[in-house]
Amino acid sequence: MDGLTIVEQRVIAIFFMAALFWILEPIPIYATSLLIIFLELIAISTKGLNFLVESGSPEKLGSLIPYKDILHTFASPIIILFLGGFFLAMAATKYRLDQNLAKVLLKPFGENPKWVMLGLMIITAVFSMFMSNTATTAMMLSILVPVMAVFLPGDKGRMAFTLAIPFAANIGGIGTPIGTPPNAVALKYLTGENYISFGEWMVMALPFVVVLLLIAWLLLLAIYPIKTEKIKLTIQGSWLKNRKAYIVYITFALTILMWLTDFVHGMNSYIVAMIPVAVFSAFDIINKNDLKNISWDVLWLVSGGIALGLALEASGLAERLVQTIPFGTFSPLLIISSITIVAMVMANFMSNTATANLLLPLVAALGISLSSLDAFGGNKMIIIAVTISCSMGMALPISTPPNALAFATGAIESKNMAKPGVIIALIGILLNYLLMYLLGIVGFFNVQ
Amino acid sequence: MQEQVNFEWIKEQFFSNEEKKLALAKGEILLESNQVNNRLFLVTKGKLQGFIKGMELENYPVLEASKNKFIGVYSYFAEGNRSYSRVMAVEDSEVYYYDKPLYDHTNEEMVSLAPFLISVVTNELVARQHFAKKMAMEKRMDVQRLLKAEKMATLGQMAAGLAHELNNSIGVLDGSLDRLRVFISQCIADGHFKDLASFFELGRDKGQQVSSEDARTRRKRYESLMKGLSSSQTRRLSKTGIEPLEIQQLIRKHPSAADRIYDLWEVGCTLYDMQVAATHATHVVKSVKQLGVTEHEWANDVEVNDTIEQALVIVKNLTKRVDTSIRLDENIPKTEACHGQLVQVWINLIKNAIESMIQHGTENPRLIVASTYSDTEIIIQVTDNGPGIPKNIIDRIFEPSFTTKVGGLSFGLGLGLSIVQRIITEHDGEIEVNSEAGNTQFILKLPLIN
Amino acid sequence: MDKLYVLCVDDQREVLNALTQDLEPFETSLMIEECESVNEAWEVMESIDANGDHVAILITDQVMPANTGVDLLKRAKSDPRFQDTRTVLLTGLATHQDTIDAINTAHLDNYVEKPWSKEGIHQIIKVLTTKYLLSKGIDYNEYTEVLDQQTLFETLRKTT
Repeated sequence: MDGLTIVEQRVIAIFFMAALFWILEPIPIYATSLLIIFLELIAISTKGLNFLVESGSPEKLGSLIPYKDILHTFASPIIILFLGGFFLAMAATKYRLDQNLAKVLLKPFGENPKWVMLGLMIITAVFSMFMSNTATTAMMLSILVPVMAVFLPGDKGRMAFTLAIPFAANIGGIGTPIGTPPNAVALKYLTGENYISFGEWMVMALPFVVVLLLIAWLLLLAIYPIKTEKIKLTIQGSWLKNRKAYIVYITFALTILMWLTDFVHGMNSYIVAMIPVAVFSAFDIINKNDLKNISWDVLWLVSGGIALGLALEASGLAERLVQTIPFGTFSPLLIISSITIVAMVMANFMSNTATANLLLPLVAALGISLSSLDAFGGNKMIIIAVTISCSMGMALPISTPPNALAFATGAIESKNMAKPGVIIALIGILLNYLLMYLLGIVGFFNVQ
Repeated sequence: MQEQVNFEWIKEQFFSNEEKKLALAKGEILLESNQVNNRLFLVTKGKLQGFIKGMELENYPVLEASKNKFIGVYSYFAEGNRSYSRVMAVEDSEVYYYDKPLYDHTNEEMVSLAPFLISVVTNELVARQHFAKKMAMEKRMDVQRLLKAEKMATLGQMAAGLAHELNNSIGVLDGSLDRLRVFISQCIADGHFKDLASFFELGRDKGQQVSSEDARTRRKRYESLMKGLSSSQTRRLSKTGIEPLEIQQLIRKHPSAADRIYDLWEVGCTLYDMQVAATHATHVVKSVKQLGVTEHEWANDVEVNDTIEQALVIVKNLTKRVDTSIRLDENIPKTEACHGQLVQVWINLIKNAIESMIQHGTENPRLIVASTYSDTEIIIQVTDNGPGIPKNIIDRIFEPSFTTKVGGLSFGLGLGLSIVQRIITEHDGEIEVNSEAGNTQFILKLPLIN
Repeated sequence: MDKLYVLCVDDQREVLNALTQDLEPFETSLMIEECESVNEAWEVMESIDANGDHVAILITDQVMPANTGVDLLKRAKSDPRFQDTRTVLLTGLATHQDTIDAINTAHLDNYVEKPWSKEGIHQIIKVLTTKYLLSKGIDYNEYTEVLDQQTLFETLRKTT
């Protein structure tokens, strides 16, 4: 790999540092993100340290990245989209929309444990599309744990229920662009002709979520059959009926509606995301105390990923890498299958978001350069396929925060989680391929 | 030693001669104190005791002998052969005696008698030691009983003294309160606020009748009808129980009336509360006096129904919290009894019933107080639908200092039912308790005396 | 302006009257509610909450028929809706065990013995209202007359 510019070499160094830090976690993963941005700013930005950015001839140095572009990652549209999601979720929790919705939605599922479990999974999945997977899992587990005592001793149904929630949350996260951070990271690379709207994402991902959810349900029932004959979940509370609560209900509905109907009003999902931010702040529904509870770490983690992608792209390194390695000679199917499996394995052992942060910039570069992929849907297809694979990490307690929460209830052991987790992930990968195939047939990937 | 020395042998050898047998009736003296005695007695029936005279105690028992025990061991063996105590039959008794004095025995005889004598002496020593121990124990218990009785007596006296003192103070308060009430009522009726006097009277005569819950709903009406009132004004007015419509016009004309109405009502209410407190204090003092005994004003024309109604007045605060029904037979004749004590009985029974229902959280708590009579007795029943008295404690409820109430909060606790029992016993009456969950009934029967 | 409630719970009406009389100076900023039993208090708390208003301070007697004050405090603290509600046990008769329970399981903020002093209860109300406002992130500038400056300064020092 001769002829690398200095900037490119530095990007490689930062990339490897990021990979090592995200995998081994010597510092918190969001801190790694901040470190990436900081290092990029001093080493490869137009306003970096003198002796670092003025050494050698311009050809040798390579192209520096405007510092503003790097700082912009903190407020990139994707971050705003997520912030909007956070505001929605926070207001929903504060005004008990989540709990009351869960109460209403759970009612039709009766008291037969099988159906109750399906109900729980559907509600968890739906909620995790708009709230963080972790918050959804925490809420649903808090509803479930008090009734765990009804399970007969030795009834494996206890495990089925405990696992159903984190699995449903992980799967549900795939459903919308704001469902889980990897989706947001993917949006960064789905620009221009590959642009995908909120509604389009849901049209594409929802069938996948539904099918995988049903499979997960049947699988859990098969592995951990429920002996208990009746289970009754009681959710406390009643609908709040005051001005602020109504504002929350209306804004919530309106925002989702606007996200789905961008073709009518023309505002893209990033701009729509500002609606809850503005409305809830203006009406003091989210006050400054609540702002403290926003997961800034998640936002910064995504920012770091975006900054890393920016550096790879802007320095021209991504393109060069892809050109250097003879991917063209490999079978496109082999490339697709190996990279999705790598993503799934990585996501099982480290943060899903960090996985997306590391893999997606490479994949995006690969997709552009690899003409052999075009037959299968090209860049758009492979980015989506890898993004979905990033959400397949659910075999271990450390795979995702929802898994860790379920594990912490003490109702399950690692091996109880690993067995269905691995099976669901593998089925998910296969289903992923099927989805890509079908999407290809219906012309979803066709460049507009 | 030719034969086995045992008690049967001794009895056979020395104490079986029918000629040397004495029969003693109860109270008959066997030996006088200081009398010369050369006989050794064996008791075969009844019981004898030895007493010494002197000190402060008349006839202090020092020894006791029942069947198969010896008497006269000391004097028979001792120098001078004098009995040191007076031995008397405390029951009808029979004794055999051996009457050959010790000094008449030859040396040979003594040798052969030795086992016999040793056995007798040992027997005697053991008997005396046992007796001494028993006496010591009894004495200790006596002392304890005495101390306890003294303590109770002191408590009772203290309580009575306290009650007397308080009684005086309460009397003063009660009287002054009456005068104050008359005076304030007059002032208000004649003075500056005479238009608003009815609100004062409402408070004075009825007190606060509104529960916090009622007040809340009424407050909403105030808020919607009279927008100009502040939140503290609506809260206060809603407590008076006056409907907003009654005073809407008045307040519209004179906005300051909103505060004035409450103030006047509150002054009235304060007077009412003081009256209630004084009555309550009087009742408490009365209960305390009961502990210190005394006060027995018996009369032969006591109306039992009156006593019940008086009790109900005193515990009104409690009875309003449950569904109370009173079924008194108006034809009950007058009887001889202690009015004040009967009131105490009803108070205690009603309090117990209601407090147990409230504490248990009984749904639809219900109390029935009923009276009826026959030719010979008056029967009063106090019935509640509370949790009932557990089987394991039902036998103990009349013991003093028995209580099921946590914390011991209400006055006279643990003494309630023991007082009831004492009073009813003094009236030659009977108490019967039937209890199961949801139905507890105290039935009291008082003899009809006229 | 959010409505902040101070709930007084005591089965003795006279005590409630005396207490609310002492709290009257705050009535321009705070809503005072009186309840005669734990169950009633709970209903009131739920309705306040359902209206989107705040149960800021709960002052309760310990010894009452049916449920005790500590029961109420425990129930409130274990309910996410009333997590930030500040609590005062106002009692003349709480056993050692009750008090321990109140502190350990109901995270009691303040223990006041009857008879209380007016100034004392005023100070407590101010401190607890301030704490409540800060923990809820409500704009405290509208409640100046019930703010305890010291508490305010202490807390604000730690924010950015």
